[in-house]
Amino acid sequence: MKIQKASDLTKIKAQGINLLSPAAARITVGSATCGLSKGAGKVFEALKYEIKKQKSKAAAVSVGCNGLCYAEPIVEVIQAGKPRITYGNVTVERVGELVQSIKTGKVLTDLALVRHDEEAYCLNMAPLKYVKGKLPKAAAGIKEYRKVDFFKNQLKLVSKNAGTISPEHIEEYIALDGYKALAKALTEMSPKDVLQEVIASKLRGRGGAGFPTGIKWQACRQAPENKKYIVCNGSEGDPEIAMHRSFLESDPHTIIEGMALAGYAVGADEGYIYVNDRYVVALKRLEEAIKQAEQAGLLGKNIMGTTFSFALKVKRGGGAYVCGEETALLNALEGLSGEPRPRPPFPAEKGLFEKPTVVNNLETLANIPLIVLHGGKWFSKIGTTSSTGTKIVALSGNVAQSGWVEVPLGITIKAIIETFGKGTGTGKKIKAFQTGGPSGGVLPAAFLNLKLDYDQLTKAGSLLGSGGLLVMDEGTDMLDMAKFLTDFFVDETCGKCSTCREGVKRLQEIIGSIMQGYGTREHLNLVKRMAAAMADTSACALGKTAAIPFLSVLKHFPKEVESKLVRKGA
Amino acid sequence: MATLKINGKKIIAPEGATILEAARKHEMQIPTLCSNEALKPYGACRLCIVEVSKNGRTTIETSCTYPAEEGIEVKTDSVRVMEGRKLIVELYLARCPNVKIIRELAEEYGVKESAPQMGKDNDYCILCGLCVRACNEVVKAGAIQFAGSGINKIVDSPFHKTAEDCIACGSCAFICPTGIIKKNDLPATSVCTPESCTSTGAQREILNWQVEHKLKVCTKCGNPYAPEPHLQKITRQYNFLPEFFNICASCRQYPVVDEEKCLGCGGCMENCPIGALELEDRGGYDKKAHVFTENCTACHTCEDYCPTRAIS
Amino acid sequence: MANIKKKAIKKEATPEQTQQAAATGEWVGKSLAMFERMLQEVPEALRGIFREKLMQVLQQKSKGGPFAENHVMEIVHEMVPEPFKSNVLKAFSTMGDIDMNVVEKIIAQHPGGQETIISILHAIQAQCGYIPPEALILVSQKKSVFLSALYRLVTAYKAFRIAPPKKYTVTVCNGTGCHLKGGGELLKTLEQKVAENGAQISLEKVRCLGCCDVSPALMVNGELYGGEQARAKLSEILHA
Repeated sequence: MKIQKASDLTKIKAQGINLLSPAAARITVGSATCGLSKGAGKVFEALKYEIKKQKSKAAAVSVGCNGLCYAEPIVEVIQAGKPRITYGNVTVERVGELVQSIKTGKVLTDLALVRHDEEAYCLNMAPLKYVKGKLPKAAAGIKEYRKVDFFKNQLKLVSKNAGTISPEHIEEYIALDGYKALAKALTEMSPKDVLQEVIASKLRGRGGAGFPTGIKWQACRQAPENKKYIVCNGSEGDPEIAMHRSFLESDPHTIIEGMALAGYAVGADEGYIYVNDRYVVALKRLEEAIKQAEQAGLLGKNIMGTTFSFALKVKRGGGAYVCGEETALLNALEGLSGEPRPRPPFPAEKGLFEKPTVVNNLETLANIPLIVLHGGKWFSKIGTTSSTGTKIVALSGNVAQSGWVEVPLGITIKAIIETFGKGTGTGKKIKAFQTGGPSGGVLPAAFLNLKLDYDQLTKAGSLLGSGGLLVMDEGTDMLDMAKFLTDFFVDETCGKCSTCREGVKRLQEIIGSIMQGYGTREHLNLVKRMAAAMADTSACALGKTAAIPFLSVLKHFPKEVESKLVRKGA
Repeated sequence: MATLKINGKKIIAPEGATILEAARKHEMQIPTLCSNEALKPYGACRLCIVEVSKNGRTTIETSCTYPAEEGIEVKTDSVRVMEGRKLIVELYLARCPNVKIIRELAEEYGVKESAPQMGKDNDYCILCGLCVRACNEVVKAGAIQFAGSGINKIVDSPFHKTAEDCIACGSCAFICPTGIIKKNDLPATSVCTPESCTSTGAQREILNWQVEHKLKVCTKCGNPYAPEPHLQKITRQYNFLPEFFNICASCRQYPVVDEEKCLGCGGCMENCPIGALELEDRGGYDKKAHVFTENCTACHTCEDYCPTRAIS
Repeated sequence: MANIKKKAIKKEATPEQTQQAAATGEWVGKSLAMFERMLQEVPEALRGIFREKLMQVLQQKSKGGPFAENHVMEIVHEMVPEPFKSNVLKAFSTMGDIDMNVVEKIIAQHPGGQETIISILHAIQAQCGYIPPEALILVSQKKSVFLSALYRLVTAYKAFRIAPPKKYTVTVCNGTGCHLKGGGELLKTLEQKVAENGAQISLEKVRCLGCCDVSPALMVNGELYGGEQARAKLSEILHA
């Protein structure tokens, strides 16, 4: 149905709630790439087959990723009056039993991870109650999610829908207050009001530089041009994460809503979502979601019967890390090679097709609906004073439980690794960690008490970046890590700036010399000179930070480098 | 108009000027490799870096791209800038140790050899992009472009085959600072055997793009003077008559009007295919033919139509 | 159910009938070969029914005229579900000459200027398995973009390949997480093995496939494999 006024949303919301917590039963399978890589596709096929075979009335639904990647395939059973039960590591062989459990009421205790008796999805919404009346005995043995480390220590605001709703049913998104922020903005707020809320939230860019989003929007709004653009940076080029992928596969509507709100605030009527070229499933789900939003009148001309129009297009990238840099991204959108443009002028003044453009990271935009719905002031109270809000952190490397979580900024790195990753899982202690991708270099275990905070991490020589947290245990060869991270920059440099292009090439050679035992003090001195010149003279952050992996290893693990140097007189 | 300080000196820069343009107007030297007045700034060589202080913050920027903004303070030769330039030169020297312009630059910055800890290549292309930009922005032939990216970036013709869109104008060879683009104009040759003679006309080859094109021969003096595709492009672009380029520039003569013989009848004007003739008022009924040589194609049509032979 | 069965028995088209149509010159270019290859995806017992149905669709599309390659291609796109669709398309792309009609259609589906080029290139590669030079030339002509600029795009962006892919494309995750958990070693071993007896394998590296729990992870012809399954699949194709 086409939504012509805000109150139409309520009707669809009711439909959605019926889908999420139906009279019969609902069995969901986590079908994001992480799940699919572990056989979730086959589990889903088996589920449909069993439901038919057992003549069950349950609905089989593909949902996204809830972050429990280490326990995929995840299957959840939702039955009227009973708690929502999350099963992990479900194999095709057990699916029949699962479907049967709907009739028998039996719980597969060996696979059950957690249960949800109720869920407070949204801050102003009455919690969605699963259990009505007494808790069934069979379920009592499973831990309630609010008592489980993995969930109780998270603050799921941005990712509240992921893993619960089907990304292919817009009604389910609307059921959990989806598009309520857009309705509020269009009917109760002026564009300036929306901008003020984002400024008040002190939200900072979730991609790299951490620039205040409200200030960026304001600059674009003030640009004296009629045509403006919103661009979502979903390129996610860092080599240790794929959170944008998970997000787009699980909850694409949050991004769509965020972009529409951005368009309203700055005066843009057109937006582009630039997606990493490998994210084929995410691309499909995003395009489908946009189609559904258009059909519902939530995108396109005269949204919800107002004068605000906003159109969205999805563009697939060409596979270049450097296109995560905003001006290189604009070049890619224009069909050119991915090389950065000189700044000034900044995109807010002259961006896509020379028009004022806001380029925002995907996660930054995902925060916007919440800020508009609950207010910038509310948002600014989460996290720390300079790093407000939450951050999605993807844990990888030597961790027992890999996956992603959403935590308030300000939590310590140590807490994240222990609470969610459950330590290294290798029996060895943590030696080092990395935040912010290769540009963040490495930090030793002594820094584990650092807070997940823009300024703290920058002061320590790293950066928050896109929120990847890579853990390295004591078995890690730090020089090998320096080589691997430098190789990444060699692969990804666009080659425009002489300093960066020639610099990363020579850095690679120098690290190679050191690893082969030919390195001397002069090599180290040269790297320091090169690093300074690259930081000063490169056009973009790639060149500026390319020497940091080696320098950080040299600084924090000097013995590993110096022990390889040629000894004087040898 | 903006007022800014460069090296302590207050200067006024014209609207839209970059720091480099403003500095050069005031005879201040800033080294560059990839900039050219006729081309949009690219910012590849990074040699033109300067220190820019604005609102209490100091950053390093390329002067060829950074606008000469009101109130900024620029230092073109600070220690930080010189250190950066020196390393850039070293990196270039490591890449192109046998390129003259790089060796000269190195000498200027007191660099004898690139650091021994750096590897050494023997490249002759500095990837300044001048050839690509000239071909695409000025000539608008688009025959060559960068290909690949990163450390394997090169300048190439599509599929590394003959550049089909090349008009052999030679702009790339002209603008290349290292001389690696080889343009050769070859005279006509004749190879005779007792049975037959094969002759090849004069041609131009640009080896890098595997291009060979005939040179047009002037019908008057008989000398080959410009590549045929180049002339064809200009003919199409400006709608000249196909015969326009039969005569080379040295032989080309523009019509001269003998005003004593000119009746002001306008016959030349009406028949000029380009419209390079007009009648100028000289008072009263007196009109004389006037030639706009910038439009004239020296086709001699006006000469043929003049009843009094006033045009020669 | 009974009705459908009856209908099928009555009007099942046979390979001989389609050959007859071929003999009358109604199949243009590779269209017959493509049609038959498409039918290979259907289980043998059902092939006759599908043949009949798809012939009808083909008649509709060709409006009584000859059956062209793009007619068959349209059927594949509109009616064949995954994963069969990808199998068929891959098979088409190794059938010899690339059908420029299909490329023209792709270009027509992306109206606009230079900003549409990268989407067009992705579509061409999805269709043909790579970007054939003829396709690039056609795009240059239709979109009035210099061929040199297009060549730059396909060589600068890692997503595009300008040579046909080999039988197996193994894409190894070269993300930092996988590297830490043995991915580096796996890659080295693979590179060696492919150099020795991997004539049918092209090895590609990508950053982070997003399945860190099963590192080292890899894809074979677009299908994801992790952990033990990855090793098993690699064994299979290396000894094929």
